[in-house]
Amino acid sequence: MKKNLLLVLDDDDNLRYNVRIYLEDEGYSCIGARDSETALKIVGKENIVLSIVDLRLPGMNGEEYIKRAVALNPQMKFIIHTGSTRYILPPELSRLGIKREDIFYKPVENLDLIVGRIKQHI
Amino acid sequence: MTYLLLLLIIIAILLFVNAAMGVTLYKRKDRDAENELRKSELRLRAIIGNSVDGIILYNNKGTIFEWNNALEKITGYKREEVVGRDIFQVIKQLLIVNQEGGFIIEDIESDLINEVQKNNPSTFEMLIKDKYGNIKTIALYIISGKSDDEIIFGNIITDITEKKKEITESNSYLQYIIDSIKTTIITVDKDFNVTHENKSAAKFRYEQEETSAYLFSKYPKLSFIKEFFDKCGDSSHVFNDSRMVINELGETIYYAISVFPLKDDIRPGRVIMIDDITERIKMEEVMIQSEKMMSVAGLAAGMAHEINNPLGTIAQGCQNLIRRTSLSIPKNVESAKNLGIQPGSITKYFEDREIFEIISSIQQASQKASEIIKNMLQFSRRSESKKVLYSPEKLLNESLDLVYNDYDLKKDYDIRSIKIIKEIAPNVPDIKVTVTEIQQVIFNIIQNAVHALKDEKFITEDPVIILRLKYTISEITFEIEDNGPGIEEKHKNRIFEPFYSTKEVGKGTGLGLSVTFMIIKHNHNGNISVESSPGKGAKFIIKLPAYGF
Repeated sequence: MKKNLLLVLDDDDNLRYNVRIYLEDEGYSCIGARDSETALKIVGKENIVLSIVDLRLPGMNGEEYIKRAVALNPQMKFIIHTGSTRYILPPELSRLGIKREDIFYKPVENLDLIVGRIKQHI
Repeated sequence: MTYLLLLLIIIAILLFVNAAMGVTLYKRKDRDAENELRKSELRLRAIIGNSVDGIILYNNKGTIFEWNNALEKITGYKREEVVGRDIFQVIKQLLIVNQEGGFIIEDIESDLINEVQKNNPSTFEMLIKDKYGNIKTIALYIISGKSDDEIIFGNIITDITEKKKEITESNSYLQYIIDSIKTTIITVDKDFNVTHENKSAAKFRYEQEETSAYLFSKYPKLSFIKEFFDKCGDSSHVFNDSRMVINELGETIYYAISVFPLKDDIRPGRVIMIDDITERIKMEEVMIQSEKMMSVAGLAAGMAHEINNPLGTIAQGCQNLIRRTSLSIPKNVESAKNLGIQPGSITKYFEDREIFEIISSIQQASQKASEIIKNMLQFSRRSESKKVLYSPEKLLNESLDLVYNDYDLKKDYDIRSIKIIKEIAPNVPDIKVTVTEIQQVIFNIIQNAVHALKDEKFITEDPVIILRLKYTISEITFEIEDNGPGIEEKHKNRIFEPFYSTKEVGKGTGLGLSVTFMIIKHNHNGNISVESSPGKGAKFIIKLPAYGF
C-alpha cells in the first residue's frame, strides 16, 4: 500500500522541519515547501492527500494556494496552521469543505492534535 | 377879561382832565402788572400743582411754604400739615435711617446744601415711610433760587419705588444667573477687597464667616492663586492659568483660573473666575490612556504573529526531542540498534542527566510566552464573538464560581478565608454582552482583590470583598470592592496600562487590567474606573450600557 503523502507549506524553516519530522515519526510521508508556488508544482506532480498550510507567506498566500491546489487535486484535504490568532475562516474556504476544526493556531503545544485531525481526514 | 377867565378855566379844566386822565392811565398800568403777576403765579402753581414729581419749597430758615399735590400722594401728608414746619423735622419724620450707614439726617441735608452751593447738585436716593407706613424709595434733588434778597431752596422728590423694584429684581435675576453658574466668580477692587461673588465661591471659605472683605481673608482656600497677582502685575491684563490643588480629603483637584480687568470707571478692579476642571483632566487622561493602549495593541498584533512561529518551533522541537527517545517509534529502535546502543539506555541517560526536565522547562517557558502573546492579542481584538442578552447577576455569580474553582487562588491564597458579600439590586435587567469576556473581567478584578488581600506585606484583618450590582435606566453598574491595602495615587493612573504591574516579577504580566479595560471600553462601550487610596481598599466600578433603552 502506498503511503499517504502529506505536504507541509510554511516559510519558517525550523517550524516546517519540526512538523515534518513529527509527522514522519507518525508514519506519514511528508514533503515540505517554503512557498505556495513550489507547493503547487509538487501538487501538480505528486498525489498529495493533505496539505498543512501556513497563511502568511511570501508571494502567494495560503488561502490562494488552497484554492489553486483544489483546482489541481479536488480530493485534497487541508489543515490551516496559522500564526494569526484572529484568523476566521472565510466563506470561500468553508465552501471547499474546510471546517473550524481544521484551523490550528500557532504555537501548537501538542502536535498530536494535528495528527488526530489528519487521521479523521484520511 | 371874561374871555381871559374863560380861557384860564378851560385851561384849568383841560389840565385837570389831563391830570385825571394821567392818573387813570397810571392806575390801569398798575392793575395790568398785578394781573400779569397773578397770572404768572397761577401758571407756576399749576406747574407745581400738576407736577408728577413732588416739590417742596422752603426759605433759608428751613420753613416750608410750598408742598405740592404730588408730595401728598408720595408721603400721604397734606399741604396744611407741613406748610410752616421745618424742613429738617419733616424729612426726619419721613426718612428711614439706613441701618448700615448710620448717618444723621442733618448731615445729609448739609451735604445736600453743600452740593447746592457748589452748584453741583446730585440726586440722592433714600428710603422713606409714608403717613400710612408704606415704605418707598425716593430720589431727591435739590434746587435753589434767589427771590428779592431771599434765597429759596427746594427739593424735587421722585417716587422711584417701582423703578427700584425693577432694578432690584433685575439685579437679583443677574445674581441668580451668576449663582447658577458652576464657575466660581469673585470680583475684587484694586485693593483685593471682595465686591461681588457667586454661590460657588463658598467652597473656598471655611465654615466660620470672615468679616474682612480682603480676598484672601474671606476666602483662605484661594491662597493658591495669590502668586498669580504678583505675576500678572497691573489689573489691565487678562490672565489664564491652571493649578493642581490637593484638598483636605487628599483628592487632587485641577482648577482653571482666569483673571480679567473689571472695566468700571468708579470701582475698577478684577474679575476672578475659577473652574473645577478635574473631570475634564481625568477624561483627557483616560483618552490618552486609551490612545496609548490602541497603539500598543496594534503593535502587539503584528508582533504576535511573528513571535508565534518561533514559539511553534520551540514547542514542537521539544516534543520531537522527547519522542525521538521513545521506544514506541520503530525508527528510533532501529537507529539505536545500528549504532550499537541499547534501545532503552538513551531514555535512561536522559533521565539520569535530567534532560527531560530541561526540555520540560523550555516547554513551560514557551507556553508562558505564548500565553502573554494571547493576552496581548486579546486586548487588541475587537470582540468577534457574539453578544447575547444575559443576566448581570448570573454573570457575577458565574465569575465568582470561576474564582472559587481557580487552582492557584485555592492553593496559594486560601480564597475561602475571604468573606464575600453580595449586594445585588432586585430585578436587574439583562444586558447584551459577550459572556466569556465579562466573566474574564470580573474574574480578573476579583483575582486582583484576592492577591491584594493576601499580600504578605500588608496583612488585612478580616478580609472582605463586596460585590455590588446596581442599575439605572441607562446603565448597569458592577462594583468590586475590597478592604485591602488600596492603590497608591501614582499607580492609580497607570494600572490600566499594558505591561504595568506592581506585582513581583513573574507574578503578573501587567496585562490583566489592560485587557479588562479594552473589553469594557472598546468591546462593550462601557466604562471602568477605580476608586482607592492607600490603606482604604480599592473599588473597581464597571458601567455597561443598559440594553433596550
